Amino acid sequence: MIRKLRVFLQLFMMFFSLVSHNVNAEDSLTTLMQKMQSDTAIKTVYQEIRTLELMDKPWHGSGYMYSIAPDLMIREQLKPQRLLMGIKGEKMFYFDPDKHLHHQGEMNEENPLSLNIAVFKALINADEALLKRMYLIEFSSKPERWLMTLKSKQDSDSGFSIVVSGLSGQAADTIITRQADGDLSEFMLQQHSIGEGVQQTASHLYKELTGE
Amino acid sequence: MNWRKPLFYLLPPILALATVLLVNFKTDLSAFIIAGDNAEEILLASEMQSGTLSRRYLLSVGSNDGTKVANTFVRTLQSQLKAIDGVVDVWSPGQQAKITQTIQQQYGRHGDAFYSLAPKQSLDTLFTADGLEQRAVFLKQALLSPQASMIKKLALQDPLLLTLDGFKSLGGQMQQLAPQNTIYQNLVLETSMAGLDAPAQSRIQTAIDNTFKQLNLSGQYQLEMTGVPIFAVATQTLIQGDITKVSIFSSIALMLLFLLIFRSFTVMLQVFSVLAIVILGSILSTQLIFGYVHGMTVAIGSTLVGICIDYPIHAIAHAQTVHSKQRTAVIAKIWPSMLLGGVTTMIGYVALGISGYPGFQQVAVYAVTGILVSLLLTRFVFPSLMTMDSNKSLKIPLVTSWAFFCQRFRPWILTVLMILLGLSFFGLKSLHWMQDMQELTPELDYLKQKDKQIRSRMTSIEPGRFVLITGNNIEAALQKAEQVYPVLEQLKQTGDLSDYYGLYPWLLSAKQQQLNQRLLQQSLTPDNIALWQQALKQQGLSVKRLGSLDYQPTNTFTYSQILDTPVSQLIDSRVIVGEQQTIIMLWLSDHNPEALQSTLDTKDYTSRAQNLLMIGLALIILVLLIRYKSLFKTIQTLLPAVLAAFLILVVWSFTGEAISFLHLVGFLLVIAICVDYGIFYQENRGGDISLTYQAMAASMLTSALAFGSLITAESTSLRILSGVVAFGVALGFILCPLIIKQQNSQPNN
Repeated sequence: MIRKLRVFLQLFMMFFSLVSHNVNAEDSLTTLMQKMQSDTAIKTVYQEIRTLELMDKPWHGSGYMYSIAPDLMIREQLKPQRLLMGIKGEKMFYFDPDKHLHHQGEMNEENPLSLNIAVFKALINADEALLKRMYLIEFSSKPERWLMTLKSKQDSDSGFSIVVSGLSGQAADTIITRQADGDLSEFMLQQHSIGEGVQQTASHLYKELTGE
Repeated sequence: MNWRKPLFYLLPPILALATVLLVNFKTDLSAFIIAGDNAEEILLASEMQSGTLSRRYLLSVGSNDGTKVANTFVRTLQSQLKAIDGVVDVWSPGQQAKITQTIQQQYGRHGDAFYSLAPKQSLDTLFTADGLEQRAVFLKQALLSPQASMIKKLALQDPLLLTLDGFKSLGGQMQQLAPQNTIYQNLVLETSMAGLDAPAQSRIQTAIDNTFKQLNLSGQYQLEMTGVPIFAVATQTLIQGDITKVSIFSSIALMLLFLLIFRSFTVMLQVFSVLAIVILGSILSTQLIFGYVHGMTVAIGSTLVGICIDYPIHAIAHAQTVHSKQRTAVIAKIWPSMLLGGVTTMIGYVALGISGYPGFQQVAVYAVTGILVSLLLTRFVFPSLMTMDSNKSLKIPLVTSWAFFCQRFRPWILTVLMILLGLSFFGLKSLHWMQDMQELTPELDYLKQKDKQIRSRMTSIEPGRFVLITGNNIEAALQKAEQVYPVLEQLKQTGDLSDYYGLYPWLLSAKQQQLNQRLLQQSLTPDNIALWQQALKQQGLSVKRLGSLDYQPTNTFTYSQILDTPVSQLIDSRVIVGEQQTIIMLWLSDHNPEALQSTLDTKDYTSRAQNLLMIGLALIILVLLIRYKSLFKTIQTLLPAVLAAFLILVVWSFTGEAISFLHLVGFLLVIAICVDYGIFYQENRGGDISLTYQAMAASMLTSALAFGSLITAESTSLRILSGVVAFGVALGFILCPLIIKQQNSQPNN
């Protein structure tokens, strides 16, 4: 009986999560963000493909992203080698376990690096204010998919853009970043799991990331 | 008509009026800190007084509940602080974005010139199959890193990423120094006024506090500040308090002592009128020569009262024992002793004046004028003032008995003294120099602790100690610095230096840049290029875009060009460019000073103090030799002073006190004053040794009291001076009857 109840609760949680991230075709950015808002820790699996001018063939990477409300986002790259990146509040962190190398910096409008990273934090933490502070936003929705184009507020004609899209009624599943020099980075996202276990893992990763 | 008397009493108010109207008093410390007699020291002094480093505040904002300070609060504070009148710029030391951009945009073009301080060694390691393969791996990782966009631009100009070679070590340093405590937000604030311009900096500090308070109405955050201007203002407050306290205390104490010894208000009025003329005359002559008078000069100069009072005291002591008509003759008789004593004292002060502190130059002028005025007044004006017929002999208790005791038991006492001195010689080995001049200001320890705390929260490094490298121009200084870097590296390896912060990779001499370019060109052989292309292929990197290694030698990247980039914020406080000299500062973190001094051929500033002491002594000996034409008599006259100084050294060796420059200053003053006692006792021109010794006792007591009153000062420097001189003059006085044997005159009871 208890086992059945637990299975039922898990199914309910999954259903609740999907519902909570559902977006209608008519949704604006605000409603999209409101619906993506979650107090629950979320783990997302991602695939990354980078097409760089200075590399002969595309590069593939994969791993997980974790988000814990209100302001923590961690990306754990597992392939081709393990790397940790994260944002907590306005601080950005980087850790290369192979080289035991820690870096940290401020996420602000003056730091060009912030443009590439803020989008992940904003989407995963459903932080509309951050999006609006960092980017010029164009939001459109069609019956099948919604699409959002982000450009640098400092220099909107630089050629830098981030295109975020998702199935209608669902959270973002693709993020394509085009650098000003033409280099391309595609992220395919899919929610993996939610709940306390995710939160524990993320907390552990955060400690590793900051070297505490 | 005796015109001297009314003129004498009119002089103090006239001089006081002239002082009020004409003298420009300064209290800022900029005039009192190290200056020198050569271009290098003058340049350094000007940098310490008004250079960028001295004009910067480090501000640290923290929250009361330990939570992170909001960025918006700090940004608003930053913009409002910029609006304060006198503030040049305010920035966050953590904002490295512009600097990263400069590395890519400016240094990227000069990667072939800046890659190493030891180019041959670096190129030998790089241009091997393994070396190039590792470089290709590094390039790929960098292109996939969060900094990819910057790396790409760099790689297109510099495929081997040589630019980053120099910055690798810098990255390591920054990594080590990354702030552990991230709950603080830090800002650097630069002012246009000199750091040591305490009144102006005091206004800025009040404005900073007010701006912060207006923004922080909820009281959620707290602001802490450090930097040279903070210390300047605190020191000035300390000095101002000391001047008032010491002046009041020493004046009252001296008056009381004087009344106690001479029991006459008239005599007191006369002597204090002499002192007023001496002090006011000294202030005016200092103004005449320097164009201003420093408050500290007046504070230290007030101790001069203890010396200048000696001459009228001797005059009164002798004149009071004879009829009023004979007084001029008596004073004229003892005047040569006073003159000789005055000259030896002046020598001491002049030696002090050339010690390198501009403030002490003022003190020297102040003292020499004061001694001269006092001597002249005592000889030519004082006799005509003493018109009252009174026969009073000084009767200071124990003085005559001690002289008699010494006379009677001289061989025994001398034997004991010699044994004691012999034993004390062994203790002298434990004498040691004060390694850190900061120990002279423990009263500012609370500021130093706060300074340490705030700096530990900063990512930028501003240690308090540095190696100074001088050259005729920036190129010469840079070339010298590049010879010092390997030595510092060696010290790091031996553990004598934890780290240092030089100008490389930000600045490199033109000579080294050209050498780097030439050696790189020689290494770009077809074989090496083929190896590089193979390494690129293995990593999946584009041979077409990165394989040609087309490094075209560029013009050298000069200091003035670098100053036009955001990097100037990092280096401008470490380079001082003057017309004749350029100084480079290499900042040091924890280190072993002795190892550093022995490895680097450093200039020891304490040796100058020692030399000055020896020169001062030699001059005093010369003057006495000319006077006495006898080496024995000269030595005998000097011995009480020298032994008093030696005994002070013995006390320091037993107490373990570290000797600073200031101790030596006091030491020199003790010798200068005690030589006077030796002269008075040796010459005994009055013919009554008991009276001479009584007069000396009155002089000693006033000197000891004048210097002793400095003990009431908050400033440890003044307290050191107080202890050394008060103890020294008392010793010198006590030793006189023991060392100098009077042949013709027995002390009278």
